[in-house]
Amino acid sequence: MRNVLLIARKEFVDILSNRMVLFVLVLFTFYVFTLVYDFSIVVNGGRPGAKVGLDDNNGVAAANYILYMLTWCGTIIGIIIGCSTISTERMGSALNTLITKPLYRDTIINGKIIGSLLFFAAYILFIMAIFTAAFLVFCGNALAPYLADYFSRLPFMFIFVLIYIGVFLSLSLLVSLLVRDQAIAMVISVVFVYFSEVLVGQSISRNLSNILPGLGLEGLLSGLSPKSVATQAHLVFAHSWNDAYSAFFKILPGMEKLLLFMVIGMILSYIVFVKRDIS
Amino acid sequence: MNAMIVYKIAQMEFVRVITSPIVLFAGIILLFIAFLNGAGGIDTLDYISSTDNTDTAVLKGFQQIFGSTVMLLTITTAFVSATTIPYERWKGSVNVLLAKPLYRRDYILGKFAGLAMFMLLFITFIVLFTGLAVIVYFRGPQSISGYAWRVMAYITVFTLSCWLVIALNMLIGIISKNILFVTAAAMTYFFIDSIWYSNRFLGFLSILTPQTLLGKCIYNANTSIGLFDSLIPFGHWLSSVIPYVSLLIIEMILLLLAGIYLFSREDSN
Repeated sequence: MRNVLLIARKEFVDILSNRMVLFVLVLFTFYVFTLVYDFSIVVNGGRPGAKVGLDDNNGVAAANYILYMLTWCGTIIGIIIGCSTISTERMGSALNTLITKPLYRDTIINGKIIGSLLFFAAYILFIMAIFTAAFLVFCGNALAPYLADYFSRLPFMFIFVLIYIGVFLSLSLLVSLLVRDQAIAMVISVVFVYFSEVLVGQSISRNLSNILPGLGLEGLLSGLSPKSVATQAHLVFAHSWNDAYSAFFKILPGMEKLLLFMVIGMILSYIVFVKRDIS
Repeated sequence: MNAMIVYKIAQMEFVRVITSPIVLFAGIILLFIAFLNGAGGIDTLDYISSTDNTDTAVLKGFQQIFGSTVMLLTITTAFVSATTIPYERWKGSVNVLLAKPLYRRDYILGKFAGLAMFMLLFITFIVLFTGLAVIVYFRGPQSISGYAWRVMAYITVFTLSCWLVIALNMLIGIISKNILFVTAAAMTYFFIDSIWYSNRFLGFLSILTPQTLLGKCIYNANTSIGLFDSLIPFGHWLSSVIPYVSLLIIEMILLLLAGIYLFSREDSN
């Protein structure tokens, strides 16, 4: 266990000291301010007719801004870290050194997964803190009556986003273990996102269902897409008549599905890492 | 500029891309999507045909999978073009090439020309296959010449937008020598331009992105002029997209010049 924690700590520090990750974090922080500034213009009546949410509850709308931003940007962070965690060590031959140490291979991958998930947890908390500070600075008065709604949703959104990012982390980790070429590994991971997008928004699942009718392929394929679960979560959290608890329980089946995807991806990563020559 | 050298480098780049597993992977998915569109998407075309007895229904066959085709082609183009120079740096082959009597600008132009020619052929093949699937499963166009003009225009604007993606991502590959950074930057570009709404990030500047310009050429919501609407005369559409096509070309040239400038100034190590 001590070794797992040591590797997890090293992984966390490695990710945090990665200039590319820091660059993306700075970019997202800047984006947070632009989003909140735009939000404040609307709630302060600067854009007549425009609304920030589905109803007048600014706290629910503000929390939903966070959910949108974290699910969108979290996907990209999940893929970058999932691909880079193995690729950087493989390119620097650090993986070979690590494997020759008296360590079980599953200790290495456990440490890497725990370190990455801890980083994501820290990332989500950081973005939520930045959002909250910016909301209070830019539009604190408009948000004040709805702060209970706002803060009560954040813990549930934290859990949802962590699992959502975990799906892309586990998939890209698996792909980078299977494919040696890092660019191809990243393309394949992005193609997963592509399928997640097109199975919901485009007509692919409907077309397939038209070719093979009666099998329920449209619903099945759309349901497999993480994007469809995220879309459903956005809608459930966006309605103020769903309090935080009831919204969480409404999206629980979708979250279980995401958790299943994440666990399957991680189990496959274990198998590949333990059984295959990954050097 | 030595045209022969540019041609040789373009040829090498073309062969490299055409044998790349990324392209094969993307090609199979695109052909599958085009087939599904023809075989499974005719119910929508039948509906359009019942209300509109023109070639619009046949042309809408392209529009039905426009989003999914553009997204995948953008992924392919972005990654292939972003990694072309970093890979050669990593393998050291760029140093061998630069030791030859060769201008650096010829090297960049050759790379661009090879990628550009490949994308032209790839897009033409995918678009023609999409059209073929629609014709086989639905029906052919009533006006062959009108259909041919619009398909050619579609291939042209689509290819130009991919050329802009190539120039942009080659520039990223020139700026950074780190493959991981380059692939991550190419992915970030793809997310901003294709999945997220670029106007949320860039505001009015989003008009400069390849996808927005391509979208404006295919259907301009401000003027309600669309390429796939057969009721709108082709000449009318053409005159409405000239500003956007010009912007695509100007941006592409500027990015290419920026890439040549930066590559010429950098240390070859």
